[in-house]
Amino acid sequence: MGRASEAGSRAAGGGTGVRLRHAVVAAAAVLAALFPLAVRNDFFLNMLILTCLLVVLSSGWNVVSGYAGYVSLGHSAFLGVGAYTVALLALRWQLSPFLLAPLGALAAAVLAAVVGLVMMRARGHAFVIMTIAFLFIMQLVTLNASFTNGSHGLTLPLPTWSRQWQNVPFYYAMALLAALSVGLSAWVRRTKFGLGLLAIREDEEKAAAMGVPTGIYKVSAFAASTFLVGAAGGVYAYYLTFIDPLGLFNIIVSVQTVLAVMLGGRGTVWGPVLGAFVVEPLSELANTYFGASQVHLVLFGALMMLVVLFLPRGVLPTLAERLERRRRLRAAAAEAGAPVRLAEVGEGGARQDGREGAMT
Amino acid sequence: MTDERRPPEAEEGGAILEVRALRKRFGGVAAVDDCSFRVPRGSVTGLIGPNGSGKTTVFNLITGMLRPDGGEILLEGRRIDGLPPWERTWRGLGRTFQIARLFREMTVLENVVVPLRDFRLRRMAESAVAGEERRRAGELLERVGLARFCDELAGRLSYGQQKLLELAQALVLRPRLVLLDEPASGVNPRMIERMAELIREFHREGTDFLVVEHNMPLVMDLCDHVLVLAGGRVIARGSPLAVRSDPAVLEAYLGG
Ligand SMILES: Nc1ncnc2c1ncn2[C@@H]1O[C@H](COP(=O)(O)OP(=O)(O)OP(=O)(O)O)[C@@H](O)[C@H]1O
Ligand SMILES: [Mg+2]
Repeated sequence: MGRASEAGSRAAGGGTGVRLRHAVVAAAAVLAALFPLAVRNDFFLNMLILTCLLVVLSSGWNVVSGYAGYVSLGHSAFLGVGAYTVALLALRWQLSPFLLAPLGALAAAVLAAVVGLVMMRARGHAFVIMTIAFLFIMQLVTLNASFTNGSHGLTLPLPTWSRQWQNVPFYYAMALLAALSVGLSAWVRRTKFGLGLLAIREDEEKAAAMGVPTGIYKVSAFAASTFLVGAAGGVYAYYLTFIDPLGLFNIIVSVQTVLAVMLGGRGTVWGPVLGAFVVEPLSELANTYFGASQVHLVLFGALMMLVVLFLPRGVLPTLAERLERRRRLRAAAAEAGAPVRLAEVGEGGARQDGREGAMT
Repeated sequence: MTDERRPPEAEEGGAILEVRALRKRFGGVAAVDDCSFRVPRGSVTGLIGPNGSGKTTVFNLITGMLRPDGGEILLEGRRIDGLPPWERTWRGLGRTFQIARLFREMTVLENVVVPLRDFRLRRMAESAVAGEERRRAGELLERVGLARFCDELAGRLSYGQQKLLELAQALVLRPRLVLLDEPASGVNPRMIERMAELIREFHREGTDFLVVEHNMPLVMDLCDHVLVLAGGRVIARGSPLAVRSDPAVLEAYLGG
């Protein structure tokens, strides 16, 4: 998705486009780094921390569900796995959760590889349902296991840094993970691995017949999509100080993740980021106005329907296609008369029909 | 095609592909029923038969997209049944589909460079469109006449162009044997000629072909050896001319 237009702009002498993009990313990074020093505002800082968390979730989700087309509704389970792993180890070893976050990542990725081995034999709706079931099984296990302290939850050690810094270190940690997630997603997209995942999404049997080892690819994608989510779970647990099964293994977080990516654009690198920056503030607004979490579910459900109906490809691919069509028309006008043998130049319609089936 | 390749005795020599007592049922239907044949090395072999005689199912069994209920499949003398599809491809098999299947939302070039030649973790991390496969893909697209559509989405190609792209896809890993399922169906006559020309060219360069096709003139023109399938088993084999006048074959087509 958005690939042709990328290729197109590159072909159209777009070295400047790439440089512009790099400049924008660099500027955003500087802004993000300076923000908490310039603006001492707890409300905004909290919102940014949670937005970065959602960026980690949605960029990760995008690898397995956007690129490979295996839609998971249980992705927040890996947030919980990371959180509980880090919390339990921090309590046992008396170490900072920040130091233990990589182990949270490892736990999430290993678990994803194991369950992926089983679940990814199923496709489409069956896979979606299994991921939901997995989320609730994880919730049940944490509720009932003795070592997780069940429904009483776990209380993590308090931060050791000076009070003056408040939540700023959490922000930097989460922002770092968000940046890494986007980096991972962009890197995957550029590799042979990423191309194989797109092929699996488009036509898995065909990909296998062409020589793509689909089993290894899918399981690797699932593990890659949960690795940084696990780390973020550790940081999130530290930030919350108190975690419990219902809060961490939460379907709403999964729904937010899916919504963010659908809104921004599945299968693109920046769509999930854009989506997170819209969905998380919306969710804060809903919090202040409605409070109760059931309202959340309704709100997100309604939003999801709007996106599916009116922006089925998400914001970024839709924009990219508009620009691409404009470019094409201009190019066609410029060299009028040149034979163009493509079936449907500049017609988005037929293509859209095709891809709706391909995603499920 | 050279005449040295043609004699049926070649069949006794090396077979590029051998299928023994292959069976596959779908519910009550025996789609492939005790099917045995050999594809001679160095040949373009035709696999013909009435609709529903099991040709596509045989292809699906050979490439591993379906599991057989019984029988053996040997590529260059080695068993490949039991291997997953991608490993069969790495052993030297390629295929196209009866109705062209492409990665529609990927570019034409990406469609061709997608596969790996074998599995190594390091290779997964390589840049998607680069290296030897990129060169090979470029060359193939040039030859099938799609080079100027490299950066277009594959879904935008006309159907005939999609068939050509599928041919390029099947050839990218330099297979020993390519299975073509109705390469000429849904393609205009000029494009059929082009397709036949390409198959002959690639055959001269050392790739063998097993071709399912309903277009008889094309089969007569292209193939040096023909297998006739009816009811899931081979009822006749031999040179195109001999097969065409075989009473069992006429019977199968008329009765079947
Ligand atoms: N996936 C399937 N499930 C059930 N039955 C199937 C399946 N695939 C094929 N069949 C049946 O098996 C038989 C052989 O089908 P196959 O597609 O192999 O024939 P074919 O020789 O390729 O025909 P055609 O020339 O029409 O392409 C048919 O009776 C068909 O209905
Ligand atoms: Mg068929």
